[in-house]
Amino acid sequence: MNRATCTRPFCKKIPKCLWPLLLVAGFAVSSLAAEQQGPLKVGMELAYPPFEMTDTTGQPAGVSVDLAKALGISLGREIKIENMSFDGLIPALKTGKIDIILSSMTATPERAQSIDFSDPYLQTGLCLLVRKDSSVQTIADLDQAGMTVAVKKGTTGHNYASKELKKTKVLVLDKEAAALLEVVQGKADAFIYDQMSTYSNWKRNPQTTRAILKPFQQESWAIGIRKDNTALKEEINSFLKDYRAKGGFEKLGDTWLLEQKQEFKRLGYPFFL
Amino acid sequence: MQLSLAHLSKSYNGHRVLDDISIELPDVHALVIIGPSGGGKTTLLRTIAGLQRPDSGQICINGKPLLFDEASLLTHRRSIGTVFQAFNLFPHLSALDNIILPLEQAQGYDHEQALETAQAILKRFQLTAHADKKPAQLSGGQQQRVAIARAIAIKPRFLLFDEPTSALDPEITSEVLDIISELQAEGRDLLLITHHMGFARTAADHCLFVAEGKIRESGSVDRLFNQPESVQLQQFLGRITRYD
Amino acid sequence: MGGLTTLWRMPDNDAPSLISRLMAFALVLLLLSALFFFSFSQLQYGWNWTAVWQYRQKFLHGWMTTLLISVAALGLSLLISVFFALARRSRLLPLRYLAILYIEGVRGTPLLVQILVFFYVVADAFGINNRYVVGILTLAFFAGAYLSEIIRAGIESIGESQVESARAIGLTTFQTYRFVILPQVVRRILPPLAGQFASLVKDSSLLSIIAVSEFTLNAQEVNAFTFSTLESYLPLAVGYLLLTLPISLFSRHLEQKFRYAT
Repeated sequence: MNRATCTRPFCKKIPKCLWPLLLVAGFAVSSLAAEQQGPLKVGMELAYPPFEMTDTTGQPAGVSVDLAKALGISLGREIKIENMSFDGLIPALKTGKIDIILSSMTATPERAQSIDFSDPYLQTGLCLLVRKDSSVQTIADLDQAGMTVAVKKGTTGHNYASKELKKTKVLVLDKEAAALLEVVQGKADAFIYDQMSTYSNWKRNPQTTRAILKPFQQESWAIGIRKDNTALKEEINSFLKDYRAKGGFEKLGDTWLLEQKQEFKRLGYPFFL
Repeated sequence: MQLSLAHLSKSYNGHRVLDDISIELPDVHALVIIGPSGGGKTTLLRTIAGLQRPDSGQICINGKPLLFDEASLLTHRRSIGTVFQAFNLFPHLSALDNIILPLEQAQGYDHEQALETAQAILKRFQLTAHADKKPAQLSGGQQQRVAIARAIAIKPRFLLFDEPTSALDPEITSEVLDIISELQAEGRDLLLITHHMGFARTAADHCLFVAEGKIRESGSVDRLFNQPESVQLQQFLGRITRYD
Repeated sequence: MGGLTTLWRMPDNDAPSLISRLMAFALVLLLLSALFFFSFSQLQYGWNWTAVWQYRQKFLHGWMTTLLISVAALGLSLLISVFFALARRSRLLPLRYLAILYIEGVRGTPLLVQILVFFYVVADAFGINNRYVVGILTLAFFAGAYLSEIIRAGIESIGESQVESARAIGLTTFQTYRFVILPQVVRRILPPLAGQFASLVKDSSLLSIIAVSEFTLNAQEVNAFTFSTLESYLPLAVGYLLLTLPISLFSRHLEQKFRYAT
């Protein structure tokens, strides 16, 4: 390269081959600058009615969406809902792609090693959806050779099955619908999931399934926050206390879970919201 | 050999390529067929070779009629040798393997026999040094000589050549013509399509001029060359000797 | 600067010196590593390899399952593809149309859809519940459609004159295919064949959606348990490379061995 022919002072100092590197560096600096305030990015998997789902126009809707919006008002920030698969939520939070996880996520000790959780806002439990003709009555019946259990990848059901059910064959499915199909078609003896969804799934498939709603493991859901973000955590906790005191959760239950609320009352299970 | 064709006809897409060809040749050893392209000579040769079925007509060779069902044609093809203008050899096999293949598969030789026969014939044509080369590594003339070697290795009843030197350099042409001349001198029966009138005169004992699907003239090469009767032959000869 | 450019460029004889090749590779690797390091450093990512290391059995088990599934599907797909390549050229019309429908149908729909439909609808109707068997069959039929078109193109690229020549020396149709056409077809289709095989290995990751415990699903599970995404997925990439690189290397070796001009 003949430097004498290049007359601009800038390029005299920098040989042609380094320009691409400069471009990359420039992008990096500008992206760093953009990280400050702005909308609160809420991560959730919109595949879990009635908590996280989309309405007929394709907009996010559900218990968690309403809760997120209320949180936004309380914090004085705009809310942006990021739809992603459940098992991608924690990595996304860790790398800063989202600011909080509000996706009916159970606070477990393992997860608490990676992220922080707010105070719990909902109590529920793991229970079973079994084939109608299955002999399974309790979780102990399931832990036997020859039994097959379906779980959704990344959920506490998945965790429980791989840790506690030593003799059972575990089928790890990506989607709740697939896991349900496995039970309906008789390929799996049971599907371990939370009480509400198990109830809904049973209601939709009464001929082929049976719901054993008594929980064998209690869980509570909380909002996920990055570990270094204590300020946000406190703000969220005070919002939750406030919201409950004002009857916000009662209203959510009545809007979205009326049937479940009544059914669970009838069955004698505590309603958790 | 004795060759008789009776009312041989063939049409392609409405075009009559062979138009009611009939001829009786009671005793011919080296038959040369000349004529303009598209006139039907290649189709005629391929029909006699058993590679094409005529629409109608009969062929009789050495007293035996040629039957046109697939089994008879297969037997017929296995008893004669055909050499085309180009692309005779299979590019993925060596010269030696190209000769061994028909011996083993079509003639039923076992491997030792086939190997011996193939090597002997390559030796005869001074091609032993090229036995393990693939066709792409041989010159055009060498390829044609291997093709001829393959054709005679099976001890054919007679040989058919479709313009064997047309794709070759003039210098190499004589290599190949030498061999054909040798074979003819040995007493092998052959049928040759060629443009080399000089060669035809020395090698052939009968000549046919085929044009527009019919045998327009039949006789000795000398007679056809020096005393052409039909206008087409006169024109044809005029064209091919113009720049001699 | 002039001297440097001759070092980086391919010389006229297409045979660069060892120094040139080494320096060029080193430069590219350096630039790519710099890019990677820079991107990762931006992540504020807390690397946690120990958690993933605890699950190494899962990785190994998944890798072996993928290997076995790929090999089985590969072998089966070869048989299926040869059959359909010949059927596609058959003079028997129903056979020809069956081949056309199969090829267009499989090539025109996503593998994901085929896996789901095959397993949850077709296999269920026939009572075949072994998801590994169904998975291998689905993969084999999927690859078979692409492979059969590759084979057919290979067959048709063999000049008619060779078939003529084979007839003239008295070979039957079967002998012609066996000794003349197929040996040449195999040599010609080696590059696209290797490509298709590598694709098959990677496509097998889609079987995870019917809970086949292959490599990708196992890596995803480890990610779910440890929340260490990059530490779970980087070994996944390396693992797949370990399966696909030998295929390309072997294919290139065979191409060299069978090289002949046509």
